Amino acid sequence: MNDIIALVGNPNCGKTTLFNALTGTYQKVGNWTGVTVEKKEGEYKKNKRIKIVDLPGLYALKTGANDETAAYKYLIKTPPKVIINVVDGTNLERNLYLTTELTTLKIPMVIAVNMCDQIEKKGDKLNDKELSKLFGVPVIPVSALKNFNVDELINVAINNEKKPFLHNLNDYKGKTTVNKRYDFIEKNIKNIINKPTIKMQTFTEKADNVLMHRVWGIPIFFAVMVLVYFLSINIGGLIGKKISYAFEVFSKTVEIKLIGAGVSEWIISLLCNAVISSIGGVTSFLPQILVLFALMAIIEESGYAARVAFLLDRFFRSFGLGGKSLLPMIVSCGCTVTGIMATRTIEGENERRMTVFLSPFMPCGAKTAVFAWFSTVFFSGSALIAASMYFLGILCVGIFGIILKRFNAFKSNNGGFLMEIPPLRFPSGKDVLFVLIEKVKEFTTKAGLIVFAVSVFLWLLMSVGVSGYVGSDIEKSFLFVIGNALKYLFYPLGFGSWQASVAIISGFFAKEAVVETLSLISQDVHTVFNSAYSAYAFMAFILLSPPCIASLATAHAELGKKWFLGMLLFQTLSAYIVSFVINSIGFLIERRLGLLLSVLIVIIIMLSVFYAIKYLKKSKCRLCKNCKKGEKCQRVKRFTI
Amino acid sequence: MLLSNFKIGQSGKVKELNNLPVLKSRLNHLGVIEGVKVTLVRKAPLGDPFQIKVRDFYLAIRKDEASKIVME
Repeated sequence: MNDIIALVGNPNCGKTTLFNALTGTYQKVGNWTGVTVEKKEGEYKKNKRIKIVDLPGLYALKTGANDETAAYKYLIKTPPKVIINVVDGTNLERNLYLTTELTTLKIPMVIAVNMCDQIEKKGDKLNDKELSKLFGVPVIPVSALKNFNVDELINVAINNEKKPFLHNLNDYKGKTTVNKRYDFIEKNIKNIINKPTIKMQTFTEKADNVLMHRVWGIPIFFAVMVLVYFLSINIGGLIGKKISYAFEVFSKTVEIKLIGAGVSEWIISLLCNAVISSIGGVTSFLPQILVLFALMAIIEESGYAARVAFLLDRFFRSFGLGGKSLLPMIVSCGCTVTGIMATRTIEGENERRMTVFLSPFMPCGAKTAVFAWFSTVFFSGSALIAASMYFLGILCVGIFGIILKRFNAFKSNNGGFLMEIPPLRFPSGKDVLFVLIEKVKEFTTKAGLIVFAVSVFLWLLMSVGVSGYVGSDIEKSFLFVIGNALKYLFYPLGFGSWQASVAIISGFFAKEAVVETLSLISQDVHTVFNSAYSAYAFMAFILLSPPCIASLATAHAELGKKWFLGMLLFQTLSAYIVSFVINSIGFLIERRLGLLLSVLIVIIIMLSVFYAIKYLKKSKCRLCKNCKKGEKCQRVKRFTI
Repeated sequence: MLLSNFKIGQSGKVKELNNLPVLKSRLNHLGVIEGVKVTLVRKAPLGDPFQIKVRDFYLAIRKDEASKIVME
């Protein structure tokens, strides 16, 4: 049988980094609480027989009186051979609290004091022998990040049979067990760690004075986000353009060669228009997405994300979300799938549901690539246009958050907000690189395959019609028929063309496919969107409409069927309304009405429609035929959420 | 004196945690218990939440909760 080693420790103490160092796999690392939401298993890279389990971080084994954590249940049900209790050496006092709780499990244990290099930097001095004496188990100082002592740790752990002392805490004065444990730690901590009497201001404190400044904190955050988008669009976009050009040249060469060789027309069309162009399209997006992901990983890993949550918590609360909802939203800017998964750290069920509903409004990497393409084609490459999508996303989270809050199912049953603000760390290049490698893999398989399949499928629909193979005569194809039937839906939004309708459908598979589809089926995209504002309305629709298949599957798993369908409806409606508003404002501005007046007119129209609907609903009860109580009727109340 | 009335930079010891049914145990586990020294480091742009320093680490806590922590 395999030997199982379980890693247990506080959130954000470096367990996942240690796990990565031990197993050689690359799990996501972040510098905020709750990155690991499920346990992860791996094999020790130097001995496959040793299995390592990374449990989600926890401050205590039992959170409430009866509330046992999943990690606790796991440890009780399937006791590992040995527990490695990972403690953050720079914050021993709190980290040791969990250690005192772990002693009650009576499982052999080793204490790994992580970030031992940081302890000295702080000016503290660790006395690991005292710590070992106190708990009766081996203590190994390690640095997971620098890969220092980690093999030694496993050697000691696997041969360790010592169980920690079960201290009798009755001598301590505190009233509750928690108090007694902390009294016990306080009494002994002075022997374990020597702290300098004169305290210097740490780097984190100095940096926080700027990053979390009461006035400058939020402008700095916005500046950082604009910079992130600027970099990913300009640097990533530049490389992307080169790649895309190379593929165009390649496609042309292949076409000429094949025509020369006398290959039949439809094979050439399939190869050049569908296969090569879809692969080219996907690869040309990759640089942008990679730059965006690297920057997002840096923001998350450095601990800046937690600071932003602190700065914006109060704002978020005014529309029913909390600072903790912000983290999934920031993650969603990279990928909606991971964003939705990150909602698991939110305690309140209603708040969590709302975050799953709203976080797809943030532009993910794939959407950003679409926006970048649009801003190049319609807005002369302005980074501001792409960045404005980001702010539109935030705005919609706000507006629709306030609307959702009116429903009972989304009212915050406030679990409160307690969040550790971790020290700022320079993100390790290694971790960022691993995030990128994972992303390339995922992108080439997920997006690559889907975009490829969608392209080939679209090519089929595009080249085949009632009369068989139609070649470049696209208006006889099935696709034209389908797109034409759907385009009426999008007329009010300003992009009622069959090409745009088809592009939106392909976007449900993967957002990257939108651009791919558009360039595949239209000779000149400027004819698809007759104005810049209708292109902008289209961008807004892509931003807000339900995300790609992968995200939808994740959301389904998190919400269950009923709420998932609700989410689909909600997102489609929001996208439709917002696009409509943008298009109408654009239309009115074009008629020289001025921005303010246009916005005003659109708002008045929207409000009157809204109140008209409300009035119609009020005047009649929906369920009983002759009842005049309207919405106040008991039967209606019972059936509304 | 309540924690919510503290000025930025002010420190004090916790006397008791009142009326915090959900959060009390979580605060306790984090080491915010009677007698521990707490420093108010800063407030967020809208005056809420607070950043406090306790046992060598930083914690964000909302004004509502801070107003239920009685200080000595």
